[in-house]
Amino acid sequence: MHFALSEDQRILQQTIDEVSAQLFADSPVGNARADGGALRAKLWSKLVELDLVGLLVPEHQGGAGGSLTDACVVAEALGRHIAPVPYVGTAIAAAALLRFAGGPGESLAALCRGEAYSVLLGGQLEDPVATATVAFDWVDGAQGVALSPDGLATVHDLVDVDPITDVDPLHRLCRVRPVPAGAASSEGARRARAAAWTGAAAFLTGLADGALRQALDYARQREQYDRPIGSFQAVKHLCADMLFDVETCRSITYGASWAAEHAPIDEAERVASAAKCYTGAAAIRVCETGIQVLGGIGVTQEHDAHLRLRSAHLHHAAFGNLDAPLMLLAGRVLDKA
Amino acid sequence: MDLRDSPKEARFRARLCAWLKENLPTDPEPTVLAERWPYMREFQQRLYRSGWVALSYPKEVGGQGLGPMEEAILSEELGKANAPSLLPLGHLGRPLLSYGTDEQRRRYLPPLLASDEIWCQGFSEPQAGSDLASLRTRAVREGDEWVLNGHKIWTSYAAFADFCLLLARTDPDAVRHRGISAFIVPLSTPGVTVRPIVLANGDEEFAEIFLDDVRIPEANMLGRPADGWRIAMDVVNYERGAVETGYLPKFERYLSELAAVVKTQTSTPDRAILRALGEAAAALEVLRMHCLRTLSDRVSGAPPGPESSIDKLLMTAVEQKLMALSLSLLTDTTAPGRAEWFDRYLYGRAGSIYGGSAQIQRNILAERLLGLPRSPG
Repeated sequence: MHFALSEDQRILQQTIDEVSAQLFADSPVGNARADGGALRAKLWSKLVELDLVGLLVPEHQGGAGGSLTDACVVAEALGRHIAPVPYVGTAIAAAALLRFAGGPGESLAALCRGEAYSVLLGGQLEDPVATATVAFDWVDGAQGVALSPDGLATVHDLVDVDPITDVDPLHRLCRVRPVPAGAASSEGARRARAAAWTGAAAFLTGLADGALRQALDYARQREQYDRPIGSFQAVKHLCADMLFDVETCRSITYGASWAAEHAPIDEAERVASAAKCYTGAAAIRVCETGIQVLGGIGVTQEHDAHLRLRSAHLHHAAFGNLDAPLMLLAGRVLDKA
Repeated sequence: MDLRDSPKEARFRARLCAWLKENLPTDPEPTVLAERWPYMREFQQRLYRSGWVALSYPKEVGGQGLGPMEEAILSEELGKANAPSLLPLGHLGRPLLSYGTDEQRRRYLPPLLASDEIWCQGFSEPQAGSDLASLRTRAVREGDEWVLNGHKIWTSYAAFADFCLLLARTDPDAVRHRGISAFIVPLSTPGVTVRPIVLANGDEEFAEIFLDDVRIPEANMLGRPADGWRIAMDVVNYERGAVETGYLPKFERYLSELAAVVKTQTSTPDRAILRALGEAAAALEVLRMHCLRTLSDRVSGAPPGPESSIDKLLMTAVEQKLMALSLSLLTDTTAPGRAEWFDRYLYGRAGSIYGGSAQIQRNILAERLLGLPRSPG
């Protein structure tokens, strides 16, 4: 047993941190709300250039032949920077569906080259049962990917695309003409769902980690009563709680990143479920606490803390919010008792 | 990342499971500590004689010369097999191993590891709880003896123990933690009085120790003078690790007991109950993965440090979540087991107090891991 990132994975982490920091220093994340998709496109093409969009896809299918853990390293680092790219939706959820649930090979290869694919969900961003109606993390011109009623990942041309004004302006949702869909029952489809849950968990972990770092910077430098606010226990304990959440999110997320790909399917689903529901709640809590530490500036448009909290809510809701994973876990516990 | 057993780990696990199949006690674990203690001790002695305890201690002191990985497998399989709990004292051999002289290790470690002699740790005092460095128990040198006077409290299992690893102030002029030394105190020494503290659930796990002109030989100091603080911090870091103390299997057992309760109540539990069960199961997965991560760090040679405060907070959070779940499930006053679960719930409140309160753990995280400035005062 070995639970730690490899040297390569640490370098990967560093690369994304550097690329994002540089990009967002020139153009703050908040610009992505109204730049016609320019910032998103710029970062996405950088990720394609670094061969990181096809990490989940084997080389002979046009991908980079990485692991889900590699993809989670990228997703976490992107989350840290509130990156406005569809990495979880496209590079993890859609790619996993296409790969594990028998999707068309040419689409999988095109996805790795950076072509736009959105994963299709239900109206509450749950995994669709009969019809899929919402394109998640939509990009202009994207095709949709959903599990068909016969259990195969299927690509759809999207029509009647109608943008939804939702909580997170950095990851767009669009209503689309409903396409027929089926619930995950084959092992491949279940594994794809576990990968999507884990990918979302990684992004949520990154969002939380970024909130902690911002809060810490501020708590060290902001002075009241002639001392840094970070020297007061009331503020320290908020920061310690954030650290606790971030580190436990990391433990379950990276555990799931291995299990979802390699463990027997029941265990894969169990760990991925725990990752999704735990990190969803924790990331929201951490982003909220981060705003509390920042004080007034944290609730302005000027600061990106609200964008972070918005992204946390969206990714918490995605793929069945808390409920789908919690029901799966409860079922398992009852079966065993 | 690779969460599978290595071939060597898999062989160890298979041998252990085979042994457990043949050797588990058939009578149920008593719920009252006074009866549970001899039951646990007897099973642990049997484990030890067959080579399943003290796995990560060197062979020459009675261990098996294996590593933390095997300890974790042991803890996991004991839990799966519904085996009796281990005595939560494995971490007390650590300071003897790291700081003991050859003679101390030879004399004390083998019987400690075999559970033939029971140890306890005398750290807290009535006036020195969270602020442990302010402890007042004094050790004064007289000829070739140390004379101890003071009062210890919250000492786990002192009523069952033969020896106490005790902190006392040897240099009243040195600042706080610099004047503290560690001693090996036989509890049979004249002048020692042990008085059990009855916990809210009726258990007598904790006790007070009164030291009244207790004379122990010079050779009973552990480490050098003023090593006491360092030794204590090592002990608490081990004590805080879930890997070392085997909480995981206990909590897993609680969860499956609670799931069984749900099944006796209804065949179609409502959504709120399912959510609560799911949340407890998720919390256990988080604890399991966090333990694996900590364990992996330990295997690669990193000793436990301030991040063990995260482990401690996590253990407490999981325990208290399970207890909250039990309260929400056992609302019927006539439900069997309701009073026992309430006692467990009461005991669960201690988790965020002992071994460094949850507030102290947060201070440690904020100051030592996040580098925030020290608080005033």
